[in-house]
Amino acid sequence: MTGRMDRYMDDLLKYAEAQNRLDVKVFSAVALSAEQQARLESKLHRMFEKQIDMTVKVDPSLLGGLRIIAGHTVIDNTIKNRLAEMKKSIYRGVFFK
Amino acid sequence: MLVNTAEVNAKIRGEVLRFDNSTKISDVGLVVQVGDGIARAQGLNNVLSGELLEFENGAVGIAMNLEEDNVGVVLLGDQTGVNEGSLISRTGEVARVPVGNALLGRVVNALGQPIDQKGPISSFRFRPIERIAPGVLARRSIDVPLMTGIRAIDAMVPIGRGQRQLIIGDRQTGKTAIAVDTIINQRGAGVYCIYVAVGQKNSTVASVVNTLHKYEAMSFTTVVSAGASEVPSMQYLAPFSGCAIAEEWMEDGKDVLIIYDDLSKHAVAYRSMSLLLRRPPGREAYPGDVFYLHSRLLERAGRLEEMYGGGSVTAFPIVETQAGNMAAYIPTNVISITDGQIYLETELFNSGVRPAINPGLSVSRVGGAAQYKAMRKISAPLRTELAQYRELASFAQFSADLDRDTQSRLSHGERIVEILKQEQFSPSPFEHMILIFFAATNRFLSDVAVEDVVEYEQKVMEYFKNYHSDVLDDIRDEREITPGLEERIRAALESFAKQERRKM
Repeated sequence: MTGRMDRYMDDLLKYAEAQNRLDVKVFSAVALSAEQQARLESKLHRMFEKQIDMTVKVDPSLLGGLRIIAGHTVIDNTIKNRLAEMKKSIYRGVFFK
Repeated sequence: MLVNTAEVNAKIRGEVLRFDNSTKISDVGLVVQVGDGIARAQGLNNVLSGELLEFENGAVGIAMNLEEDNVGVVLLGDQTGVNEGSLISRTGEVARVPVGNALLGRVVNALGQPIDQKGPISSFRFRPIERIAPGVLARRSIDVPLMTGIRAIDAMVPIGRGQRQLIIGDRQTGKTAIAVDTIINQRGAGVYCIYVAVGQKNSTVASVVNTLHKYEAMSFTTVVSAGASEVPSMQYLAPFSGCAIAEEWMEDGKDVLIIYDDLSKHAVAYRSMSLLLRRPPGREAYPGDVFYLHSRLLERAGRLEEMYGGGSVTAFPIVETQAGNMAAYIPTNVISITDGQIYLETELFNSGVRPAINPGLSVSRVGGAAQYKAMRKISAPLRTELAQYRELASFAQFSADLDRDTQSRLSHGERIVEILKQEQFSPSPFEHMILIFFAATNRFLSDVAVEDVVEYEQKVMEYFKNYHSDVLDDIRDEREITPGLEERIRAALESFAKQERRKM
């Protein structure tokens, strides 16, 4: 893929990288307290060694746990995902509906 | 379908015990563009070519193009719900299909999912749909015939188990009919059949399935269908899925017949997929690897050595030509890959010669070695006599008076053409073929008018069944015409001729 738009996007990503910042989206089943958010942010900072720009969203359908999307990495321990994994492993080999 | 509950329980228990409940950290991709069944994604850093990927909404795709800064993903199915910004996760697996006896009598799509409303397929065995073909050491020479029940084929273009025989011809020349008749003739022969329909009308597939049911051929047949309404990616996968199903039986020591109907539509589906992936077009806009597409598929047919399973996969690829143009890209490709071809002609079809096989252009490069002795002996003169007849017939149009020899050759040829005609869905048993060929090559038909040949044939069969069934049994069991047997056939045919004369 080429094109001006992509080059612009690339430049933007490179800029973010140079700034050593990482955009992180956090989805949680319940609202996180300010203290919890601060702890999470510092943990992510240690993990990715980058300045974390964190946005937190509440999604009750996750049932419990956190889903963290950081760049091209997803950290997921939500109950919803575990149930889906469990279902998948029971129908081992049939991943289609 | 019988399902062993204890087995199911054990399987589920095993999976539950093995279940990994830890937090998942995974590589994902973000969709940056989606359209025409193709998604472009950024990220997915460690993705493998051909890996199955799952979208947020449950849609599935295959990683086809790995480029410097993005991954081209082909969606298997509907693209609604896949948007820009959707997450894609890796599955770490390649596309697989269920295999084994649970598939007999079923109609499935390119992913092995049932589409016949007969409930789920209870198979725990899966195979990746792509596989490298068996190597040189694993293969055995082809020496067992696959009887099609079609006289013109079994006599002039014999097919062996493990052979790849192309069926080529224009539209409406009876290509599918040959394939379906061959499946019907495998009833009781212990050959499992797979009919792969690529880009066909769903009504056509339904009528094939109905025909197979009607002739009790569905119990040993699997139909894999990727219809014209399905996305090109499914049409592209279908033949490989069918082949994976066939290979399971082959490695189990079974003989399998697989029909790819048809590979021209398969190539077209692959072309549209490739063009949308922005792969460079080549001749007729097909991508550069369209030859490899078909060669790697057809190489998977063959006959295995005993220690590798000992079964065989016989492949009948079908290719449709446009106005008889065999020199187009896909026909020449597939002709060069296969072990021979059956060429069907519109003119023959329209003049009432059905199956419309052109004996001059049809060849079988390996089947001769697999022919039963009786058939080889009796059909050898047939081909040359037929060729002579065609040559003479074109000459004879210009001259009114012909010498005796030419006349007899012509009338003999006409009768050969007549006995090679055959109704659809009525495959001939081996002993019937031998008998009628014997009668023809030994000039027993000379006294029969051309238009009465069909009637003569029926009467002869009736006569043999009633009075000489031992002769039929011996032909079937010995598969060889010993001088003694030849004498008995001749005597029986003579007494039949005598009886007929008395009636008149």
